[in-house]
Amino acid sequence: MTAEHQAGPLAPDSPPATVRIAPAVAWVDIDPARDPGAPDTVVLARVPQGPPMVLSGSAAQIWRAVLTHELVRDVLAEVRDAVTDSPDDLDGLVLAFLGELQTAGLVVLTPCPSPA
Amino acid sequence: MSAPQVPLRARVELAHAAVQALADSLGIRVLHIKGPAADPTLRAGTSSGSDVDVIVDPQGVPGLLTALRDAGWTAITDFTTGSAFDHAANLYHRDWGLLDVHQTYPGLDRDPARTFSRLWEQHQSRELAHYPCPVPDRIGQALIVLLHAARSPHVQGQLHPDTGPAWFDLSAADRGAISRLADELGAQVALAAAIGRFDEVPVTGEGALWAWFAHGGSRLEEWQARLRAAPTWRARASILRRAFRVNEYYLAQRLGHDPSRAEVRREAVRRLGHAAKDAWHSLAGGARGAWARRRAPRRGPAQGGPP
Repeated sequence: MTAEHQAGPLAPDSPPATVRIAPAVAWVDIDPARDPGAPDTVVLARVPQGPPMVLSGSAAQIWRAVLTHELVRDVLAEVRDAVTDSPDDLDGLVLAFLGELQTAGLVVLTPCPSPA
Repeated sequence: MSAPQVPLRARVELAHAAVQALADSLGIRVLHIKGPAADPTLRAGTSSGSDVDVIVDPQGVPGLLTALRDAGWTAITDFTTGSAFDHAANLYHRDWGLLDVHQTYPGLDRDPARTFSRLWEQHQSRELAHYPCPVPDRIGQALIVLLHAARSPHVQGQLHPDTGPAWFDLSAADRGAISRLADELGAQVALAAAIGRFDEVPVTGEGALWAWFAHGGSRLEEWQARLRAAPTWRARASILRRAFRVNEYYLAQRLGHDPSRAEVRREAVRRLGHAAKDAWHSLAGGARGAWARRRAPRRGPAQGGPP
């Protein structure tokens, strides 16, 4: 079973501070340059149970940003830079998608520390 | 929303990771071989494979198979129905595709536990789908690539293309290390067959089976070679029993549905018929040859060849 994910329209509550890949998550970045004819996608799964999930478009860009940034604000900045004609609520869409990935057990989000 | 297809390369790499995660959870030692697990410089092609191959610590095989079945893998063949060497069980998973679980490897089957330990001693780690998977070291991988090549029929008398990068193109030091590992693990005959040194491959015993792989032949000749390669009478009896056993998975693939008992019986009869036909052709060919030899004028070796 696979599911194609694009960033979904969910509103964020309290923005998380950090994001990291959850343990036992495997992924393959399909690079059309290396796999001629293949779509530009990232396929990921919790192992061993699966199922594999195929990310394309902005969802794949968000995953790639998560790989290189620990701070959510940096992920948001990278996606903002990468997406042309971005909607006004792009940050909200990205945060909602990160929430979906957390629900699927693929990333771990940690909240901002409470003010003292 | 339609479910997009998972590209083959991604599925195979994720399947390696899935099997490794399961093995990790059970503390079972597994070595990943072939496909994306193999050092690409040892292969002639660039294919990332279409299935997953693992060699499992023989002690852990029953536990891993049970866990795989619990995790949704279904058995296609068991160790006795898969190949001439009884070396692998084939499984299938809806998400991950095909998996070969090797309890040993053809050519390295003299002492599976010792072989696994020897390969494990020098193992390395390779990330597949960004998941760390143990693989044999480069010398062990080269030997496995060569033993795999030895089971491929020679096309137009040519050795398998992988023998270039895995043997002929390597340094003398690397070839020496591969030879020593083959000696240590009892794989000299198989290695000799892989690299075309058939003068070092005996015509009896294990050598007959490797020669059959290289040169091809009828199914009957394959079974004869398997019988010659079997080390004990008990093993020979087991081979004879299995020769006519029908693999219901493959029959289902051919029929497009699960076979009925009657269809399995018909298939068994068909296999017997084929074997009888092969045997008849073999006998008739032998008799024709003997008759021709009796009628042909006697010639010395220097005058041999077709008239």
